[in-house]
Amino acid sequence: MMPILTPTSTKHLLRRALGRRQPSLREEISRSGYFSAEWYLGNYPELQRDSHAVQDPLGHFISHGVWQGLNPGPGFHTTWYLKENEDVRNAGINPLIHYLRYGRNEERRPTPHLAGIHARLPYLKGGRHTRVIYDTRRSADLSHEGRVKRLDKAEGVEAWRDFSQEFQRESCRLSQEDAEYLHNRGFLPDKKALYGLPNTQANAYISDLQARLLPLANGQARQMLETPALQYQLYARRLPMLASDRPPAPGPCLKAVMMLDPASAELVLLAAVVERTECPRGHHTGKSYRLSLNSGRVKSVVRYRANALLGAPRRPRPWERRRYQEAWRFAQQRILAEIAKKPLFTFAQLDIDISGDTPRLIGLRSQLSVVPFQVHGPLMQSEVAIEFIREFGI
Amino acid sequence: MFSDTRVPELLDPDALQAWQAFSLAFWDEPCFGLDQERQRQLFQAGFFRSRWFLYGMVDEPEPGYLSDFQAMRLQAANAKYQTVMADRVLCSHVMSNYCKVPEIHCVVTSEEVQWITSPWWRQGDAGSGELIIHPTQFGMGSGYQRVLLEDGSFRGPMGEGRSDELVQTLQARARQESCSYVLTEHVAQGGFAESLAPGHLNLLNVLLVREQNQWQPELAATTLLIGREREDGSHAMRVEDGALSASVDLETGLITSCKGLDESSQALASFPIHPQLGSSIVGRQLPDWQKTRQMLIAFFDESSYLRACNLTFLLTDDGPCFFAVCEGQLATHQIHRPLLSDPFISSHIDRLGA
Repeated sequence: MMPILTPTSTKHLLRRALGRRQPSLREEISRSGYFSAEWYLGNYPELQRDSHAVQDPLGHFISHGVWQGLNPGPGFHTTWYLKENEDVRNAGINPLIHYLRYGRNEERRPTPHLAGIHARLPYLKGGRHTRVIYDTRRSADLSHEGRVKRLDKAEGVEAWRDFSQEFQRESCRLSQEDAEYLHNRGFLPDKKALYGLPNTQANAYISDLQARLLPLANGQARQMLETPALQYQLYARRLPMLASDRPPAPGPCLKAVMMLDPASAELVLLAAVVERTECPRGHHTGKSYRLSLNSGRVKSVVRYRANALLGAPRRPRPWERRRYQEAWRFAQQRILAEIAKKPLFTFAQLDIDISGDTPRLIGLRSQLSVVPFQVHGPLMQSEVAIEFIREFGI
Repeated sequence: MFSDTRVPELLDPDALQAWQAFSLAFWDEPCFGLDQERQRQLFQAGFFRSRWFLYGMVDEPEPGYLSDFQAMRLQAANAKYQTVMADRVLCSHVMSNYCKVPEIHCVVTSEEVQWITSPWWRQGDAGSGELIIHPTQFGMGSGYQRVLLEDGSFRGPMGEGRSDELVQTLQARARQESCSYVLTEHVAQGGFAESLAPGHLNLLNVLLVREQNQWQPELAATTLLIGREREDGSHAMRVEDGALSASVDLETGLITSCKGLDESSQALASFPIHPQLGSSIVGRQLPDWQKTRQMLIAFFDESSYLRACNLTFLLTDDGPCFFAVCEGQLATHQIHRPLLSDPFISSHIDRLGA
């Protein structure tokens, strides 16, 4: 039997329902990274006159802003999303909530502007509906085969050709089965031993073909990432940096990967390792220490040769744990944070010389050196990384 | 030398683009009373019509001068790195390591407005001030524009309106002209620049080139572009419009001569003092020239990826402040000295086949 609703009980029920709903919406949106209070107030200066908006920007967006067509941050374009999706328009649902709950898993994009990347990097030529690498849809097949099928621009095809040629040269010792497995996933033969392939995590590794395509995600900024003299001009006076014509001293090198978070359009750290090269008896070997991004402590250690692991990843010895903590803190505060202030690229590997007293930036590269990172395990595991790969269709 | 008969031979897309920009700008210029034959000669040689008077040509285009088409092609000497200079945002980041750089508020394209800093003029208690609008594509476009903001409204060459509508107005123009603009803060010029022609924006232009084999940086030309009021009351900002060009000695920073178009006689004339304001120009010394020179050489020395660039600075009391990259606009230098006689420049032009 249906309960009889008096005006008081209706009000009470509504209040309870709304009371429960509002915090969950807030939580969902703020957890998603698509709302930025600073961006919201900065981009709509007229809100400075609205005390509600100033005191509670997110609350203002949920109750008023979204219905006025305001964007929550650089990663979501409210009016464009409504214009593109008639069902969302007719349903009268908060479009950002629709995107977070359903749209992101369906055939829908949050913005026409490269997920906010275009807004933060004005010089990146992206433009409306233009993908940097592929003309792809969000739900496009991200398998190696799907990736190769979509390659339709000269540089992408060249990367595929180079990969294929290199694979042919190096695959003579592989069995037919292994060769097919690796080639069909975009890995060069040496990755079989280095990553322990085949394994269940194969799709979470950045393949060699993907590593060749990643630089294209930087658009025009690639120029900067491939010109040491320009990098030196941009950064040498702001942070400790080695002269572009001076080779780094032999010794440990800190390597960090930064990428743009498509939701917040901020540069975030993906991974950091310290790489040491050793040459006992002429055999070229290397050691990689994976660092915790929060504390800088060593999380795992791997010794490897050019085409094989010399042991499984292991936990650090007690004396190894804090070995690079100080260098990491310095690099994080004085180098990485400084670079992140003005995002000039979407994806880069930063090499930092830590052999001296003070860590110094050697340079930025758009080509990722995958091995020192992925001998510890696959790189593409975080939500940000997966979103990035999906957004660019790499 | 450029000739329009060679257009079919221009296979390089950059060369074709330069030719297109040149030919469009050529027909935009007034004819300065030149007969058809002279106009044809100038077009074939790649010069704008105004150059006939500015370069003191008598019978035919002078071969010693860098033509406007060649001036536009000079940036191609930087090969793929010309994009660094063409990109106002990246260029600002680079220049900020050497001198003051005005803050960029937003980039306005026909499709969208990309905010970089919060617009102070759209806030509740916004005061008055000025902004500068730069086209993102340099060349022979409309050049920079000053916009005055006062009492919640804006005023400038592109019209008037409410200050919160400024960006929409600019975007409408971007759509109309199929181009994009950068809106920057206006940095006040210092006492020296102001005294040259009070009320006008008086800018320092420098042409930097690199020797091809030894890669030595060289300051090829330095001039001060001094404003002048035109007969219709507007401010001339280019020498072809009536602005004055003062030549600066590269070693001492002394202003050695000042020239401009005499509007009545359509001829190049010397102006040791400002013809309208009476302020003295020739014989004056640029403040802190040695420091400025060192800064320019340091910048170009470290820009080893560049071979030629033409920059404009605003002179403040604290030193030069980056204003714009103005590739292609070399008349301000050439009215004092034909640039094709510079071996570095001519070698770049030869290599480009321009």
